Amino acid sequence: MPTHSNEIELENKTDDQDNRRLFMKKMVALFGATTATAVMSGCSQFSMQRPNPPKNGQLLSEHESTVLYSLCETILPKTDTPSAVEVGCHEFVPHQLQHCHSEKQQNDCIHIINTVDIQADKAFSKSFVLLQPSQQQQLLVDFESSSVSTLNEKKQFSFLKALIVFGYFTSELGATKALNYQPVPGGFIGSIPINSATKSWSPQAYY
Amino acid sequence: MTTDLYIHESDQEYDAIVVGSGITGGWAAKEFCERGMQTLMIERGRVVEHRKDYITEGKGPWEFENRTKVDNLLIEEKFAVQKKCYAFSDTTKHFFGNDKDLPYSTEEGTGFDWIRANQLGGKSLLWHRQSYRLSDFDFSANKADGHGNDWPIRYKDLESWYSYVEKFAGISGSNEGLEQLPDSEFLPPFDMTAPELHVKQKIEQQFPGRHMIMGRTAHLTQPTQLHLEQGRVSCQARNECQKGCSFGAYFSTQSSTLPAAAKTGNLSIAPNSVVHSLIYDEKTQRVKGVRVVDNDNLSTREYFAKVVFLCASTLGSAQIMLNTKTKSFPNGIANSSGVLGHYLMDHNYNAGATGTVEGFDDKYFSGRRPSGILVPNFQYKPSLYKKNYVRGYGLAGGSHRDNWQGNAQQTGIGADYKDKLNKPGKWSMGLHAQGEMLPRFDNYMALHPTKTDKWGIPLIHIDCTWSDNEKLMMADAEQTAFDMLTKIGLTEVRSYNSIGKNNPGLAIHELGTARMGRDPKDSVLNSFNQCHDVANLFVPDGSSFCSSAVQNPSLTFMAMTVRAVDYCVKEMKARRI
Repeated sequence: MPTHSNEIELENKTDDQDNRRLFMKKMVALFGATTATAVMSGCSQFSMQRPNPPKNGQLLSEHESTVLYSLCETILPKTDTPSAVEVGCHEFVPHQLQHCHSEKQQNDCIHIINTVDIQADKAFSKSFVLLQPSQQQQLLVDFESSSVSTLNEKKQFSFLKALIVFGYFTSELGATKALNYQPVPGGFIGSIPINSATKSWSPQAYY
Repeated sequence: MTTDLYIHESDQEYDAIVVGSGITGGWAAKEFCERGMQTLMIERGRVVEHRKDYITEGKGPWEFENRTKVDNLLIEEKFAVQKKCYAFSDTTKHFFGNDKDLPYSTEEGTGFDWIRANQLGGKSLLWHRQSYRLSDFDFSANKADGHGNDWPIRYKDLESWYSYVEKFAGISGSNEGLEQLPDSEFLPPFDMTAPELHVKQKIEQQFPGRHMIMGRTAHLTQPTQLHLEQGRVSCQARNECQKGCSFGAYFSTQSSTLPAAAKTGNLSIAPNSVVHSLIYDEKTQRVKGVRVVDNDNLSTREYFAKVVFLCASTLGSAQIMLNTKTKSFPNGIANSSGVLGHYLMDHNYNAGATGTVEGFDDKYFSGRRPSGILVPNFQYKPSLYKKNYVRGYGLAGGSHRDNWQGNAQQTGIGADYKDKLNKPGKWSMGLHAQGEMLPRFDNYMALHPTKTDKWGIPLIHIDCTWSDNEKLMMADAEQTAFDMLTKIGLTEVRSYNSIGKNNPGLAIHELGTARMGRDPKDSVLNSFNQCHDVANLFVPDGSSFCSSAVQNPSLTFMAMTVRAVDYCVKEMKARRI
């Protein structure tokens, strides 16, 4: 007879398998089946070292890419507007880091992606990518505001988050659907009434 | 009649050569052409056609590979200096000079950030469009406190010319009746936002003698017949001006002076023509024309005219003059005074404060206003100077309502955070000093003794630093801006002073390398921007300034240029030139 606690364990396991299946589907869509399988098998034996260093020319390893993918989905999930992943932030971030940011900023981002994953491993003995969405959310909320992260790590995380947000609102969907898109305003009016549902204007004159 | 606007070789002796096609060159060409003079405009860079060549106009950020940011490698290779300009981005970089091809040197331990826009239209495509008249307090400042030489002109000399250029260019603004900042011929001003109106009321209440006005800017808020005839229509408040504006809503050479000049049939343009030096006739003591190096293939050619107007920018015009060494002018043409290249100035934009304006949550704005507010200089005469330094500064700024860019920094993860990002955030208000820089002989540009550029022209070598006066002014401006915002009730007020970090140059208001003056012994130009030493050579651009004042100088370039052309043509007709 399974005990009560075993029941919970079983439940979690089922959820976890669902989650794993869902994530696998995304990974296959993202990286193709071979890579996705390799990544998934690597997830359980995460170490402090940078696992599976990136292939030539890539900023992030495949595993780091999957963590970033999950970070994007967790920070800006799908609501009545598209998620960060749907507008391609997980691809935008490494591109932008490589082309427009310093080596230090690149390394900071790589470091913080791995640090988040280590935190997940510590708290749940799993990679960040395999956590329940609610666990992912809680982990990042804690990471931002509690002592699980250092001040420097908080800054690094804030930078990465701002870059995801930048990628989101400069994407076509982000700029035109998530905000009140006004490419040719037609003139300037100094004061108009708004309410709590009014969205910000887009695009910006300068980014 | 000129049949082809663009020319390459020509033996013709034109009535006038105008070197440069920016704000000054565009006006000079228009005024000569409209007076029936055969005019050749010489531009060192490529042709930029109005509308057709605004290749990034109307594009969203997602249409740029790096979302409007410029690739690191490209910056390193070509834009190490230009990247410092606020308007430099992937959307505008094709209108900025290439630092690799356009090197210059600075004295060890000093720096000068020189922003270039070498194409037809020059910096008129990229300018910030703020347009202000100088006042008599500005024209008499040097005389009043002894720094620099006395301007040989006063406000009354320029007043009618200001009116003339303003009506044509289209300047929006409000009549204020301030003695330190004469009113222009205005189109309606842009609106202030609700927090700005609040701040204006508080400042004027609590700081007698300080005013807050809408920025005066060369945008068509309500075009007149004169503007419609130029093919220009109302400003659409996109505030993406530096990509180029097909509405012609802001003044540029392309939108305004160039079509007017071309319409006369008297205009020719020689693009891709880098002026090496002037051709001087020792016998007649006149210039005969210019020597040009082809921008692309480095071949040389010459163009000839009865008069030459140098409108090549403050550093560019002086470089051409210094590089014109003749028997009678071994140190550069029209340089008998020895001041050519000296008294280089910029404006000092290095201090200010910002704070949060509480409330106004239910108020927003519509459109992207291409202008800000201004607190005009309130230390505009010696009796109003602070004790430890001379001259003053204006405070430019405006309100800002936070959006995702600021909100991104706040904590939050997930749907609620995302929802907050979409919404307008807090209101803030900034005041940023625009300080006067004193004219000092020690701040100068010269030709590099050995290094030359790819056209074989000696590099410009610059030695220009902030003096104690500028440093003391910024320290005071920081404190003053902080105190003003605090006293009127803003919260989270933060101030900054960046004079220790920023080189001169970044205000992009280079002035004063061929200054005007009454005395040929200590100045290059007379009161009509005519060289004391060479009667048919004029320099109406920023080189001619005796002091920087605090106002954005372009409107004064325009007024001085049309006045100089009017004088020149009268002198030509009277056969004195």
